Amino acid sequence: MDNMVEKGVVDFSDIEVEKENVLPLRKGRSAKRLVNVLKQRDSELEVTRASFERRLETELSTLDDPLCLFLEYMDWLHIAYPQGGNSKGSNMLHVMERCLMHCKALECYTNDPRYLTLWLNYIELFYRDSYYESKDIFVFLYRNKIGGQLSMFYEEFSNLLCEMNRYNEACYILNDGIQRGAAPTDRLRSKFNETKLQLDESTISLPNNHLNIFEDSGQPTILNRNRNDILNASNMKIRHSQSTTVETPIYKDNQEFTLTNSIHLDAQANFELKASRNKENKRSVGVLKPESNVGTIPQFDDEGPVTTSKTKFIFNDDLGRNGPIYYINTIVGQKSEKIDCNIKLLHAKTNEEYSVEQLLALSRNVYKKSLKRSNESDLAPIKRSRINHI
Amino acid sequence: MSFFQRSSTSTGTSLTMATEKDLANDIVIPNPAEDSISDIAFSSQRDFLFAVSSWDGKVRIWDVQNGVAQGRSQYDHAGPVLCTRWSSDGTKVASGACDNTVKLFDVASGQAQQVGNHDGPVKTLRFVNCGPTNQECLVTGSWDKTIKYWDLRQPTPISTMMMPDRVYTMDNKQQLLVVGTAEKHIAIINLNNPTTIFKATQSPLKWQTRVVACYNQGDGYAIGSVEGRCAIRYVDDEVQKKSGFSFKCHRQNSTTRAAGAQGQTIVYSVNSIAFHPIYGTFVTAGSDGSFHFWDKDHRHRLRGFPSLNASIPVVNFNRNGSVLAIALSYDWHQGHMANRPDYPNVIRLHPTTDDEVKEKRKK
Repeated sequence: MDNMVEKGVVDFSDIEVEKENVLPLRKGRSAKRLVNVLKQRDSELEVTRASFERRLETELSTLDDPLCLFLEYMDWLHIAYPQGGNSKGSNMLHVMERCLMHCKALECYTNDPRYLTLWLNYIELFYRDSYYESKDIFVFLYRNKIGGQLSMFYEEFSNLLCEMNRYNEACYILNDGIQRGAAPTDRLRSKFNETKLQLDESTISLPNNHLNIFEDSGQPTILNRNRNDILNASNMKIRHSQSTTVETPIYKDNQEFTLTNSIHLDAQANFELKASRNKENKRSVGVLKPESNVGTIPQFDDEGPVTTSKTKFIFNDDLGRNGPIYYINTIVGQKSEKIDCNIKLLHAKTNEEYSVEQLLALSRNVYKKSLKRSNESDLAPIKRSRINHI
Repeated sequence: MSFFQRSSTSTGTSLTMATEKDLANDIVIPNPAEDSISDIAFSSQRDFLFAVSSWDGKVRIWDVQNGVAQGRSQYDHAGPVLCTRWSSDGTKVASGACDNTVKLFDVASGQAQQVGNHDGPVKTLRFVNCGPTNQECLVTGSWDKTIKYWDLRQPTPISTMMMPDRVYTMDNKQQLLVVGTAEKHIAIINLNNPTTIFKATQSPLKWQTRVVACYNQGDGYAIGSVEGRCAIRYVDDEVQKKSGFSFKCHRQNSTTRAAGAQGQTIVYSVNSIAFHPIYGTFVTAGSDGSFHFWDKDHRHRLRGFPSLNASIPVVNFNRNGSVLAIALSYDWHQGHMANRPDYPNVIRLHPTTDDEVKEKRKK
């Protein structure tokens, strides 16, 4: 084993315990550096990270090739965080987006393969799970002519569109690349032919005039086809819509992506970072800080329909519901007496007292006071209401 | 007395406070009526036959055989029944109700007939022997501020007497009839001359009169008021001066009180007073759910019982005082919000012991 170490051969047992945590990279990993990283502690990683950050701050404006520094930083991140760029600690997303935004302003990188590769890596790393967001980024690149002279861009874009079952658009993009003279043209041409061949093999027929139609920008000839649709059915739909031109406006839906509409639009659209793209989709997961107001939480009425609340109101008679009423008899110098009886009720205002049996009888309408005393009739309603509150 | 399974170990101790154990031999009749019980009366001829009037508008007659209470018969009024009593020969039950009528029920035939009426609910009634001929008649007191004498054969009363106010309570022993009305008036009638008020007086107690009860000797009466106080009164002014007194009862010291505050006494209404037919001692029962035996002549309590956790609207002894019937039901003194569906409605038949009810000779 000593020999192996001398030769610089890494003992696999060092990686063995961590092997599930190591994300394979496209270009592979150095086992030696991996072992080194695995042995490192977080604090050491932070030191290196801080040095990179310092370099970015101080050197970035002076460098001829700022992308180089970023790439160095990101290479280190890839190695230092074998769990991959998506892992929390790596901060890869932030660094990558900073790089992409910084270099976007620089003319020299427009057709730099390294820069385009970085974009493709970015899409692969962070938008792998969403065709539509990936597509949005490709459209953004297309509009800003980033990689517009590179075959790689058209190839990747068409690959994505093929995955989305948007075959005519994929062909259109490849064709567009050929028209623009993207290099290497031969590879792009062969890719185009390859794609066509594939489509033929899988019996996906394209409308003959599709390219012409694309050129007539604004004509929504590619209808909103669900990628889950059965391909033949979707083709039928296309033919159908073409034959009846009257119907086309009906199918026009501005909300839906149609490449011809979106791709030729103004290039000035801003690129949104992933964080801001997803801001509506995420709950704030930050730790609550004291004295911070997270805003009002929408409350839903559990009251139910209005009718129930009405019924509630009828039965919710709070009059007399305030618990037993006692009479507190306070005698100076003695314990106060709490009489378990509402004496004020027994002695109504009119200097007349009532026994509890009378009150009960009154409340049950089996005893009418007007029978006793005719001159009391005007007072009766007042007393009645009083009695009801027992 | 074989109806009650008496505990062989008579306590023998003269503890003032009784315990739950002393209530263990009671016969309990759960839900004897569909509503609160207003009155209980025992037959004057049989030991264990009693009538119960209820706010559900019915009078039920119960019998106890072999320790089991059985409903014998019942009859209806058109409104809540407030009072019931037996005739002295034990053949008839009279009752007064909120339908303003007085009914008489023949126990043998099971027929009830209206024998009289008032202009208001009939709150109380008694069978009395009145006049020089000692003729038995029925006297009824009503919230129409009158008492009426009925001879039970004629639809019109023998006599109608105006009372100072609505009649709340009435009791009779021998030739004494005492009527307690609203505004604390007390009317004392000598039944030798039943159509005149012998003496009109006021209750010495501060608050509303709940109940009056006459002594067996017919020389005085006890008054119970809503604020946990009992007055022992004598008709004769001289005796009253010498022997009359009042005392507090049916009170609890509030256990919860704020620190530093003076303790508070919770005072309950005295709802019922009944005199033991033999010994002359008496029992008071209150809204606190407890009942106590007292000896008025020696001015002390014979036995107190723990609260039964429900208001006692009425208690009564049977003809020889061997049984005390206790009704437990809501008496409305706390208004309708305290009338919970789970409020007990129970009659307990408590076998009395001499320890409890017999006066103790001074040593």
